[in-house]
Amino acid sequence: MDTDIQSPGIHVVFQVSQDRLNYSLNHFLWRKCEIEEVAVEVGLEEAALKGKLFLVPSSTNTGDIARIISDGYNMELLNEGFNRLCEKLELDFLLVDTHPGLNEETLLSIAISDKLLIIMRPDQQDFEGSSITLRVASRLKVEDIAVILNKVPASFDPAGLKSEVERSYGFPVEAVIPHSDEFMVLGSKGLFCERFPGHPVSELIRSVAARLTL
Amino acid sequence: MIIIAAALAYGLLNKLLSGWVLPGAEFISIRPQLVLSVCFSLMGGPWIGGLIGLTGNLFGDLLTGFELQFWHWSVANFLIGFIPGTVRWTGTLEIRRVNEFGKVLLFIFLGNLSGLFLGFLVHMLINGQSFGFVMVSWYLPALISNTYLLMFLMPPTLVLSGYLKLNIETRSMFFVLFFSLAIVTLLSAVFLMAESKVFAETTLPGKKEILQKMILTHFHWIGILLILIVIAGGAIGYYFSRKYMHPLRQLAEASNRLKSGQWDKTDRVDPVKNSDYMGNLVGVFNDMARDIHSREIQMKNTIRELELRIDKTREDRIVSEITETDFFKDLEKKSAELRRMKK
Repeated sequence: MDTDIQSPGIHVVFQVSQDRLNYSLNHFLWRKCEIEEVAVEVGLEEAALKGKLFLVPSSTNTGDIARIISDGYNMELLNEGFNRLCEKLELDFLLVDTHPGLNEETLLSIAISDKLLIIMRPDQQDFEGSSITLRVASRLKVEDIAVILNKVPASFDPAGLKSEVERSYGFPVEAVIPHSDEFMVLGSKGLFCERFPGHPVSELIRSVAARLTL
Repeated sequence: MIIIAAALAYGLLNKLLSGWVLPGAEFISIRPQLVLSVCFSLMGGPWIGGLIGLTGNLFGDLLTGFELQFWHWSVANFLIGFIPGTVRWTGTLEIRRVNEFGKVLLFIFLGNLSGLFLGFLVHMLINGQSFGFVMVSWYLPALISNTYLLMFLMPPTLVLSGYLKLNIETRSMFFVLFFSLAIVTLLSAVFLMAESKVFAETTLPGKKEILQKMILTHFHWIGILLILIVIAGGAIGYYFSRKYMHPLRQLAEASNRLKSGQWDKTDRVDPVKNSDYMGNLVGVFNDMARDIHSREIQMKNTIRELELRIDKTREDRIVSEITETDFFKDLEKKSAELRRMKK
């Protein structure tokens, strides 16, 4: 679910065109549809995968975004939406992609999560922002919190960086994903793990996914 | 273009200065044009120097009307121009240190040693003269006069051309070299005056032959003196360089490192094994650098601690701004309830 209502983007990775969608998360929050009506099934090429994968996109229409920002929405309804979606679509996992900042929907998503993954780049700005998010998340009693270091330059020592971040945050680092030119070239025009299944970055993402399902 | 001009000038000077011989010793010619090929060789590489020597000499011979009669001297001039430039292959692209100065002078000397040897060897074979005679009467005087002339002319020419960089080290070597050559010149003048007096008083027949022999003997002595004095001068220069210039250079480099913050705690200037000013200076510098470095580290650590404290305070403020809101407090309660229900 793309709860980054202010700047949605996940639909691009799954190559879902907003033109063919009847509803978005915005419509659900305005009570114009049910949450399961927003969900679109996204095909996966990886034959080994069993089950289904759904995407709940937010609207990319600038008018819709402006309306949500100015009028706000009912947070309770979003919470209900999470629960109803799990129930109606019989979901095993609900992955919520949030806005990078700590706004109300992010806090709500953190509050109801079983597991929180903070994805950060190794730069000062992210170090500070992530530290605040982690402290707030631990106040909300999230049981399982972990960090993923992303776009790490090749010149960095992954093991050293991992232990440094773990020491200063007090939370485990699940993966140190190196900066990858292939990733940048792909530029969100598809699922990286499908395009480059043998790539070290794909291996790392798969290992994170495997731990999520434990 | 410049190379062709240099070769033409070389040939022209060969023709014009062909009459420049040592007074009283017509068999010893004075050839300052060698400076051209040697200088270009050091600046632009051996092939350029060699070509200037070869073509310049051929051109000079054509002007004089010798044509290719003395081809072996053109080859000799090629070697005199070629060999000094090979010093570039050893990494000496300019002179900044006293050892580079010495190396360049040695290569110039080797160029003359081999070039002239080849020239006189072929000359001897063509004319059927004895080896000992040619070597003693022709080769050695020519080698000495060329070396003497080049030792005098090369350093100022190389300074003008920018190959020799003047600094405290090269200046001292420059001074030692000129001082040594001045002594040689003075001593030879005294010898010559004394010989002239003896010669004027003698009434023996065949004065010219006697004079030639005397000048030749005199020249050999000058040669030995020249070599001895240059070696001694070089050794003195090297000793002073090792004792004073090396620590000075190290001090200058270390000061720069200290200034730009590249000083490591294990860095230090090699101690000087004596108790004079230099030894004292190096010792004080090492102590000072160590103190500055440790103070700097201490200061950086203090700043880092302060920054961390400021960051922590800022972070605490932001976290409390979020967690003190009614929305968050409500969320905290609901979240706890939800988690309890799930369990």
